[in-house]
Amino acid sequence: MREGDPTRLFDEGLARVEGEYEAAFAAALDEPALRAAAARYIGPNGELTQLLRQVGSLPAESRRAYGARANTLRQRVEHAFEQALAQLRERERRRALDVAPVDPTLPGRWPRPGRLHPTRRALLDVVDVFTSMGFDVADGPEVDRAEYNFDRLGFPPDHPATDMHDSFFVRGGEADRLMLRTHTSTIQVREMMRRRPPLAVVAPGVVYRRDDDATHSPMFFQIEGFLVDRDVSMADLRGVLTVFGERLFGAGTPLRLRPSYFPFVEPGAEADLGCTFCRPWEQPAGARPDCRVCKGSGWLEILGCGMIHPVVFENVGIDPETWTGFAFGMGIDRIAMLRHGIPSIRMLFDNDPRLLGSL
Amino acid sequence: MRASVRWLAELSGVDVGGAEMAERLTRAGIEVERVHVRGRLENIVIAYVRAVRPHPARQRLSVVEVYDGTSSHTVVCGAPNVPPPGGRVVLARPGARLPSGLVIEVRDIGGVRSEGMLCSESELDLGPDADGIIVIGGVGGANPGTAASDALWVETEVLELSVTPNRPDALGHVGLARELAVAFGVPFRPPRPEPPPPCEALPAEDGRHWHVRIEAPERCARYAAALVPNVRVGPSVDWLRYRLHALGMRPISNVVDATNLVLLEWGHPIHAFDADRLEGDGVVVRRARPGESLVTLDGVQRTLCDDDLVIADGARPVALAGVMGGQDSGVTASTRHVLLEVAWFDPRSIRRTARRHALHTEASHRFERGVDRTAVPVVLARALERLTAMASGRPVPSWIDAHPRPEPSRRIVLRPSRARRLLGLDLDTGGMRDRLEALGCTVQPAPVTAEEERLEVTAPGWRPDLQREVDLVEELARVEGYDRIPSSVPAVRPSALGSPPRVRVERRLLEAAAGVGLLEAIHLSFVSRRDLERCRLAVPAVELANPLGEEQSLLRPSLLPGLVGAAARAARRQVESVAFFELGRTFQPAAERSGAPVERAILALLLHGRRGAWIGPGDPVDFHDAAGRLQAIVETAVGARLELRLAEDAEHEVPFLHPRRAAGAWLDGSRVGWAGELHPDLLREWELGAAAYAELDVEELVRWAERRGTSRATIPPRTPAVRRDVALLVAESVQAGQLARALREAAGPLCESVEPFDLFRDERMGADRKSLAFRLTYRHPEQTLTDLEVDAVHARAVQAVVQAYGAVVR
Ligand SMILES: [Zn+2]
Repeated sequence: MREGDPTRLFDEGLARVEGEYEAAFAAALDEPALRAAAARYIGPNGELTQLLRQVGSLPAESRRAYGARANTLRQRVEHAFEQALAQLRERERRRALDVAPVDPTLPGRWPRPGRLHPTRRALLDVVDVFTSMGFDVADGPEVDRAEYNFDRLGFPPDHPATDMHDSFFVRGGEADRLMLRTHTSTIQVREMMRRRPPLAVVAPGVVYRRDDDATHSPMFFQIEGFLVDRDVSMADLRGVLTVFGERLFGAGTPLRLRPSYFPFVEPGAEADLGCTFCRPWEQPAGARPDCRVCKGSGWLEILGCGMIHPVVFENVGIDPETWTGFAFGMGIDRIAMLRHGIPSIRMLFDNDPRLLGSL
Repeated sequence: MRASVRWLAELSGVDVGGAEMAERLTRAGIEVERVHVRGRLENIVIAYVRAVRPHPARQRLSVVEVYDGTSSHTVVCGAPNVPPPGGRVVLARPGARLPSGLVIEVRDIGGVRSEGMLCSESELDLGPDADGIIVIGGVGGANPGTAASDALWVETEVLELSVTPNRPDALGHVGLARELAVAFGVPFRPPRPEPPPPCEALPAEDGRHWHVRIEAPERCARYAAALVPNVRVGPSVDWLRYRLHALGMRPISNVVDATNLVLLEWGHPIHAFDADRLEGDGVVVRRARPGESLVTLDGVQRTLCDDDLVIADGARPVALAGVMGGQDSGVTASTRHVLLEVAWFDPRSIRRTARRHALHTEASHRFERGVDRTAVPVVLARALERLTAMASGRPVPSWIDAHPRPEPSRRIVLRPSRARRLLGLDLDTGGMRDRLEALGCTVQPAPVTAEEERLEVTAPGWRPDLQREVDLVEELARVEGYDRIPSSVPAVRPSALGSPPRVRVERRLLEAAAGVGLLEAIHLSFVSRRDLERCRLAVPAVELANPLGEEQSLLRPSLLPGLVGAAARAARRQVESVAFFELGRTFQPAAERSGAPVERAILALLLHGRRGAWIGPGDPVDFHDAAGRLQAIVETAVGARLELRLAEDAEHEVPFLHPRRAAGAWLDGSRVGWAGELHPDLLREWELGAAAYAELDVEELVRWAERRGTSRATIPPRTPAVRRDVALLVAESVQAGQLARALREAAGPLCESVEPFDLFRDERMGADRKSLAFRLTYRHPEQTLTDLEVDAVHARAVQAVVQAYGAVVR
């Protein structure tokens, strides 16, 4: 045989590939390396691929035998590659799984979440109960005229009914008797002047009274609600407040109405809800005498309410013969305190992040 | 108001005990706050004295031998009034517990074994007297060994009432007893003593004839007076003193105590003058004259004004009418003749005077709520009855009844059908009538009209609160019991208007702010001038005319002082990093002098300390923490992107922020807020570390959201994007936003976005220089761009900023 004999070169080529490929695949440590190694033999420009392309130029008599040998070799290389690939993947999979367990007690990687103020949450929950019943939400100014805070609500002038409403007045606002509203009932007046019945409105907001001691804050949250329509009765008031009590404190929470006095409602009532702590209606023995929340009475004073006084309707230009309605007002801070066991209203305005973050 | 259960039972005939009374009164709208149970005087008995001898070792103490019916006890006693043998005293035996909580034990006192204690009124909480022990006088009753609670007059149960201001009748036992009788359905028969025949002038023993002249009939509708001659002033009998003490009044003398007893019975104040200390021959009810003054019973000299109503004698004011008597005309131990006053004064006038003089008395409390002027004769008769029984013993022949303004009859038409509809309660007309009559109303059927049944009701004088039909409706419900009102859930007719947009926007802002990691704070709206200054807020603020104190004298013009204060408090409590937000109103003085202040809802956030990092300390918070959160909140709440721009004149516009590290927050051409790091001076003043602050005018945002309406969708393109990055070395003063805008403009419509993705500073680049890298995204809406097309556009854009900003491409 002479130098440059194509069959000899072909033989040498096949022998080289045959001798190398297994070691080359075994040496590849990752998938890209393995693929690069495979490409050297069976890639588009791989050695074996080129040999196969040369089969046609071999002498006719040996062409068939060489072609068969080269093809067999290619199948073996391909098979070896697949096996090596499978092994490599299995090794990588094991490595991926075989890691140290996470420490789930470390904080999640996200900014520390915020929270709404407990009073705000109580307020929104109360608002939601009433909006779900079809009430609209309204608001009004915090600094308002005594006309809206007292006069149009039927507070008699120089009357002890205002003793509960020790008011802040604004310097320079004497002509309009500008004051900080002492209740959200100002919004009742304003809404009834702005819109015509039927009306179903709740109005949350802060109110101000000149009290500052362990159990009073000069500012606190109230929510006012009222319904004006034809033939609204006190039974409707009881119905709406019962739904409210049950939605906020659980089904079955009883409601009690007691006669009371607010100049802008008649008949007027104080509404008590069953104590949500000792839940006497669920206990055969009734209220717990040592309950520190209701002090053994089994009831919590929650709100003042009643049928809107005809004088209020007259003062806003609504005919009390055609329209009747009920109104109620409640403190929100107390609900937040009851819910979370916050002992003092002043803590609600201190904004200690340790307290706010705990709720 | 306190009420004696024993007395109420006597007056009403309802003897059910304090707890039951409290329950029924509360259900009727007269709230009983507490039932005081008193006088459980166990192991305290009557004993008589067998022997008294001085203590062998201690001065002023005596050793008393007492017998309690079964055995003798030796007791050491310090009282000055130990009676001689045979006298009866009250012995607390060992084991007895006094109302103060003290438990009596056998004790050694100066070498003498003391087996108990002889008690004073005060120690048994029967009366105020603590000067000596109780010595039981008279004969009969109280044998040794009798329980003290049986032998002594004890008010065992006392109701503590909280009476609403519309119910002056409930400020007396008669009124309360009437409520009880109605509640229990028993007839009520109050005492109805008859006054002597009236006269024009009261003859006195010294020959004078007393007159009453009402010069201010608009302030005094009725004034009755009677002369009680020859009283013997002294201490009252025990039961009266004990009763007054139990009801919270100080026993003074038989004359004064008798008037107070009638006050407590009828809820009608009575005043007693010492007739000898009055000048002239009568009393005048008039307004005070300018410059007049009066020393009231409490010893205070009071300057009077024209709006004060006084009782005057011939020379001077002698009482602040309906509020407090004068010191110079009151009853004393030497009083011989008493002039009694029972009157009706205008409630508003009394209230103004009481408030002006900062006086709140048993009398003013009742007059300003309205007493019953029709009851004046009965009350006077009752007072005369008591006074003659307790201090004089001689009947009074006549009285003066000055009555310029009888009460106008209050005839109220009640439509039973209206009452039924308003209460949702099916009451029959006959039942309504019975209930109103039980309350003291007179009821007549009104002339029958075509369609509707009507009752004509006249309200009694003691119920000034019954003025119109609806007041009677409440009475019906009250007597029937509010418990009987059924429950029905009305169909609420939803309004087309719904809640205003700001309600929804505020709700979303709240939730978004909590969502970006902020704790909601809620502060009082008050602020002090000093805290505004400490926050570098030199702005006008709304002043309160009557603040609680200097610290709370203004309405806040900004949420900053509250939040800074909270951060400073937290830091003192070792919480060095906080992230707060607050949504509340701020107040600015009105533009005109007298108008209402301008209220604005503001959302503010304050970050203090370090940014939250995952494990380990984060970096100190800076401008971008506040700005980013503000942007995130607004975007979450209303889907708008705030643009932040350096303020033209931050030093002036936002003096509380760092002048170089603050920016305005803009939305569609309006500035809606600020973000920035707090001014270093402010941080030092409040002892804070790094702090960043942002605020947003919620009103502006609401307006924007209303204007914008619903946003339109951007349909994502189907063609692929081509991205190119460029890093530019520029001067510090060049802002990323400027470069981005310039790149975008120069790149033209094919450029979809320019986002900064790297910021880098290095000494080798030189001071005052920074490297900013941007990623530009190119896209054609319909066709796929080739690299060649993009390269050309991108090169042009880069070239443009290189020229415009002297940037060097890195
Ligand atoms: Zn309870």
